[in-house]
Amino acid sequence: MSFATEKAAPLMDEGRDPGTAAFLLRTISVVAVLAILSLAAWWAGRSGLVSLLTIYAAKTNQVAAADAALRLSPNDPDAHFVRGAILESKSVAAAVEEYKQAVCKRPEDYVLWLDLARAQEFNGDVAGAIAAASQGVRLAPFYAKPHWLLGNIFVRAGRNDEGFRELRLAGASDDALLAAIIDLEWELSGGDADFVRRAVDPKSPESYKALANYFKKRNKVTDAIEMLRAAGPAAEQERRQYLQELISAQTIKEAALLWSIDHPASMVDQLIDPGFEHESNLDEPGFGWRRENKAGSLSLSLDQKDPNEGRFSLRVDFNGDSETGTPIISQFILVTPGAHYRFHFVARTESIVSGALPYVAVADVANHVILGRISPFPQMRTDWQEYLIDFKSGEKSSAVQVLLRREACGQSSCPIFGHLWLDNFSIEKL
Amino acid sequence: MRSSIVTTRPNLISVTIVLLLLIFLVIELQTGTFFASREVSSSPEIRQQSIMAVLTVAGNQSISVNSAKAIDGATILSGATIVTPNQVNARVGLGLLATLDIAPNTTVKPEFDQNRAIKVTLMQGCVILRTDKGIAGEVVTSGGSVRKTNSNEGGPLEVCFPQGAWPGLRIEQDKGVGLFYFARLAALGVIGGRLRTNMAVGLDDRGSNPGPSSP
Repeated sequence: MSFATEKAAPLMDEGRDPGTAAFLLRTISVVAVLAILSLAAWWAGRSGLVSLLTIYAAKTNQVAAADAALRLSPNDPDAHFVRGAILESKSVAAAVEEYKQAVCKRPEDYVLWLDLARAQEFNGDVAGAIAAASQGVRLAPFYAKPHWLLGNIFVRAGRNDEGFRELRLAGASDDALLAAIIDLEWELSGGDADFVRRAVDPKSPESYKALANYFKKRNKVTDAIEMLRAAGPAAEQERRQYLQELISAQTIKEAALLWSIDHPASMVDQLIDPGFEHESNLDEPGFGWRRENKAGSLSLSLDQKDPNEGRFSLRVDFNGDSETGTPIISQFILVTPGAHYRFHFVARTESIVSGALPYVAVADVANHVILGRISPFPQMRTDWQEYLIDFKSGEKSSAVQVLLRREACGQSSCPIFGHLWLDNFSIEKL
Repeated sequence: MRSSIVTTRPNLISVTIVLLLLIFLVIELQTGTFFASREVSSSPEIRQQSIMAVLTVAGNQSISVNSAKAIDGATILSGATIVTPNQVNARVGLGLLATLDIAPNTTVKPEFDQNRAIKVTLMQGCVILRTDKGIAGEVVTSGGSVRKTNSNEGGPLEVCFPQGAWPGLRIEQDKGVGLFYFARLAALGVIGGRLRTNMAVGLDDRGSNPGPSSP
């Protein structure tokens, strides 16, 4: 027992030191952790409080809140920014100083640079504004807004070449800005389409289309067509739509120019597919044969049986009611104003029954006046017969329309039945 | 006698040449031929606009100027037709001369000239025109009514057509506060973006250089 006691004592003494050391170590560790946690809590709390004060300042327009935020965190760029925003209502110069502080604290933020540029320009420091916006451009070279702001500042400073260069970059980055850029250049140039085209310097289909849309709006038809031509296949839909608009507006000469982008050029005094030898889309606007009357009772087809010339003739089947005023089929022809023409074609009929018989006429596109026509087609069966229409084009008209239509009908319903074949159209200038 | 003639004649010729050169230079400098010729060849004719206004639109919102989308920082020329969509305010600033606050759903055409005169034609909606002292400002509505600012005092002139109240979030009428409204909205956008970013990824990457794929 005593042995054990004697032996145990040193053992206990030896064990006390390590225990104390461990205790001390644990205590120090705990204190250190607590200190770190306290510091972290303080840091997080302070950051949160600074953010809270900053947002509060921004929402309530209280500069005191922004000041409090800056007392807690003098290097907080957001607090400087908000303080600048609040001061801007009273002193733009003071606001500029705060914005400068903000960009100093966070110099890699292009948004802060842009706001500094905006305030500096408002404060009359154009050079400073350009420098700040240029820094924004350097930080975010692929964003549209820095180029946009710098370009506009350049333009307002009278440095148009530099301004348009930056605006081009903005438009290349964001197509949605192109229209505004084009409009600005249009207004500054006093409506000079050539200048606008050079200033925009289009490179993509989108920029060509934006220019075309703008020129359309400004009634610069030829310029719009050139832009739609340059846009290539990407603008096929736009060309088709514009073609329809030009034809509706009876600007046929310009429509022909647009048509020639996607089709063989429509020549003066010439018909397209005069013998109905090729399949075509009759609903497509333009200078080929067009079906305007959409009545289901009318059927149009290329008939291989017994054509007058070539492989096909056009067969028209009448199977009921259809509107008499709307042409069944028609084609625009470019002509020389004030010239005498002879129009020739052949037709045959079979069992046509109607109170409003069909006929072929030539009309002036500008005023819809009938320049010449044939008598209504006979009702009985006939073989191919030749028809001639002599007419003089209008003095100011550059296009006529050949059309197959029906006589006017005095009744609300005027059905027609039977068959008609047309072939071998031609036009001759006398 | 002869020798004096011989010596004075070259002097006279020299003086005449120098005078002619001077006259030529003065004329050329006044017409600006020397300085302008290179610019004209490289840069097309541009209509000189002495006054250009700045458009302010909060955040990433946009409005319509002459039927084209316009964002913050756009240049507004005299006679431009401005249309604000629903819930979007805008401001047209003419430096320290005047500001025009435009309410949502408003169609307006501001015109300004070098005679320090500002005419605002209001087709629809609400505007507040503030002018500096000595600036003549007037708001004409499509209904024919005309209201003018007091050029001695400046001060805000609020007009709605048809008659009504300012829609949506109102811009305060106190001078200068309206401007703050836009800056404040911008500030909230900046801070909001940063806080959202911080919460999401713990880093503020707004200032990094954006790539070409994400303009």
